Amino acid sequence: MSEFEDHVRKDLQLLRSDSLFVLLIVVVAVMAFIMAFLATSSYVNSWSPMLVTKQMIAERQRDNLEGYWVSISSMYLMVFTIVSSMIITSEKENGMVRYILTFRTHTWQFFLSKFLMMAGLAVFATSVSTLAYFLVFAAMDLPLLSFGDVLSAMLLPLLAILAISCIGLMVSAFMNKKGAAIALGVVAFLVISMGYTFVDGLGMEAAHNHPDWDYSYDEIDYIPWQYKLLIKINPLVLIVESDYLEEGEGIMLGLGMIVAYLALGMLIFARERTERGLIKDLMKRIERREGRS
Amino acid sequence: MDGVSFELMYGEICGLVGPNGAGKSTLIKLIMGIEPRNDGEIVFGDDENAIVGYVPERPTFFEDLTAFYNLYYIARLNNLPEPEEISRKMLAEFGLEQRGDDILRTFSKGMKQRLAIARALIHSPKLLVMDEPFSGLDPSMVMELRGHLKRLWGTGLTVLVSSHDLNEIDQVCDSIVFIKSGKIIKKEGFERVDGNVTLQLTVLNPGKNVTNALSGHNIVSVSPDGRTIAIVALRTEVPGILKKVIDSGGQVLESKLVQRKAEDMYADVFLRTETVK
Repeated sequence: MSEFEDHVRKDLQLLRSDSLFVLLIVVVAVMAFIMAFLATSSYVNSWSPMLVTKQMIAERQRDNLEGYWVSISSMYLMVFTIVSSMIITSEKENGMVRYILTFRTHTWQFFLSKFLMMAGLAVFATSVSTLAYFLVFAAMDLPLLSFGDVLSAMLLPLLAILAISCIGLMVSAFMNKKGAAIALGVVAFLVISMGYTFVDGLGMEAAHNHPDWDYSYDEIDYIPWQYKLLIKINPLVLIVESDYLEEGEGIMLGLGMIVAYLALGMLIFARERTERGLIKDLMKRIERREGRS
Repeated sequence: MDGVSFELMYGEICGLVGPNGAGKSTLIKLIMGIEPRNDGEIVFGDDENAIVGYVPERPTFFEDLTAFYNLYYIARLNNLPEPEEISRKMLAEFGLEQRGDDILRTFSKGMKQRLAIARALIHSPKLLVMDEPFSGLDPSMVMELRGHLKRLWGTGLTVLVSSHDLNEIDQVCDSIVFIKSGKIIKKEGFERVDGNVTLQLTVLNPGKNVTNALSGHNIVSVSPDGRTIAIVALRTEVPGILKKVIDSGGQVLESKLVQRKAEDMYADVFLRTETVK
C-alpha cells in the first residue's frame, strides 16, 4: 500500500505544479456554468403554457437534465481522452518512468495512481457540472427536481468519463511521445464517437433486414449480437439516450468497462519494464509454463 | 549482445569502454532490468536482492518538483527509514543543501548530475551503474564529478562506469571492460596487465655489463644514449632485476613502473587489431 501511496503523493505534486492542470480546472468550471445557462435558457424557451401538471414539469425537467449531460459529457469525453492520453506519456517522454522502474516498483500501482488522478478529475468535473446546473436553475427561480435526482443523473456520465479515461490511459501506456499520444487520443475519441453512430446504423439496418422483423417489433431485439457487443463496449452508450440498456444495466456496464479497460491498460503498461511487446511477452510466459510442465 | 561475460570485484571501479554502437548502453540497461534478455544471468554475489543504483546517460527528474522531493520520492519508494532526513543528508553531501527546495528546472547541468548521483546512492546500493556520466559536462563539472567518484574509492561500493572519456577512466577506474559489437573483447586492470608491468630504468653508466645482466628479460625499448631501458616483466621479478643491474655495477639513477594508460589499452584492443585485419 505504501508504494501506491508514494505514487499518488507524487502524482498529486505533479498535478499541483502543472499550470495546465490549473487551466483545466478553470476550463471545466467555466464550461459547466456556460452549459448550465444554455440548458436553463433552452428549458425556459421550451416552456409551454399547456404544461400544467407537476408530473409534466418533472418530465420536461428530466429531459432537460438528460440533454444537459449529453452535451456536457461529449465535451468532457474529448477533454478527458486527451488529458489521460498524455498523463503517463509526459513522464515516459523524459525517461522518468523507466528510471522509476529500475527500482523494485510495481507497474500496476504506478498505473493505478494515474487512474486515481483521472478519477479525481472526473469526480470534480461531474460534481461541478451538477452544482452549476443546480445553482443556475435555483438562481432563475425555476422549479427544479430534487437534488438527489440531479445528483443521480451524473452517475452514468461519470462512469462514461472514467471508462474513456481508461482508454486514454491505455493510449498513454502505448506511446512514448506526448504529441503522438495526444494525436492518437483524438483519433481514439473520433473512433469511439463516430463508431457508435456507425455501428448503431449498421445494427439497425441488419435488424430491418432480419426475416422475422416487423415494424411493430422492437428493432433492438433483432440486432445481431456482434453489433450489440460493439455498442456495449463503447462508453458513449452510457450517456446517449439509449434503448440498448436495461434498467440498472448502465451502472454494471460502466463498472465493467472501467475494470476491463483498466486491466488492459495495466497489461500494456507492464511491458514498460522490459520494452518487450505485449504479444511477445505473453508468448514467452506460455513457453516458460510449457517448459515447466 | 552476445557472449557477454565479465566479473566485477567487491569495491572495484570499472570502466566500460567501446566505440559508438558497441552496446554499452544496452548492456547497462540489461543490468538494470529495463531491456529484455533472452538468455544469461546477472549475479550479484550471494545476494539475490542486491540493490543497484543507476545514473542514466541523460539523468531525468520531475523538473517541476524540488530537488528534495525528487530524492524523497525515491527514498520512500525504497522504503528507507526516515526518508526526509536521508534526502536532506544526501543533498548536503553533494553540496545541494542550499538549493534543496528549489525546483529542478532552475538547476544547471552539473547540479543535476550531482543530484543524479545522490539519487542513485540514496538507497545505499552495492553496485552503482553510470552511463556516460562525463558526457556534455564542462571541465569544472568534470573535475567536480571526478572528485565525487574518487570519494567512492574504498567505500566498498562497486561501480561500473561507461564512458568515452579515456582520461577520466584513467583517473577514476581500477579496471576496464572493452566492448565491441555487443561482445566483451577484454577486461584489463590498470595495475596488472596479464601479470606484467613495464619497468623503466635510467642507468648512469650503461654498458655491456648492464646489458648482460638484463639478458633473458623482455627489453622493449632502449633510448639512443642507452641510458633509459624499458623492460616488461612480472611485478614479482622487479626487485630481482634491480639487484642484477646494481650487482653488475650499474648506477641506477631512477626506476619506475610505467602504468599503462587507458588510451594505450584502447589502442591495443581496438586500433591495433583493426590494423592487423
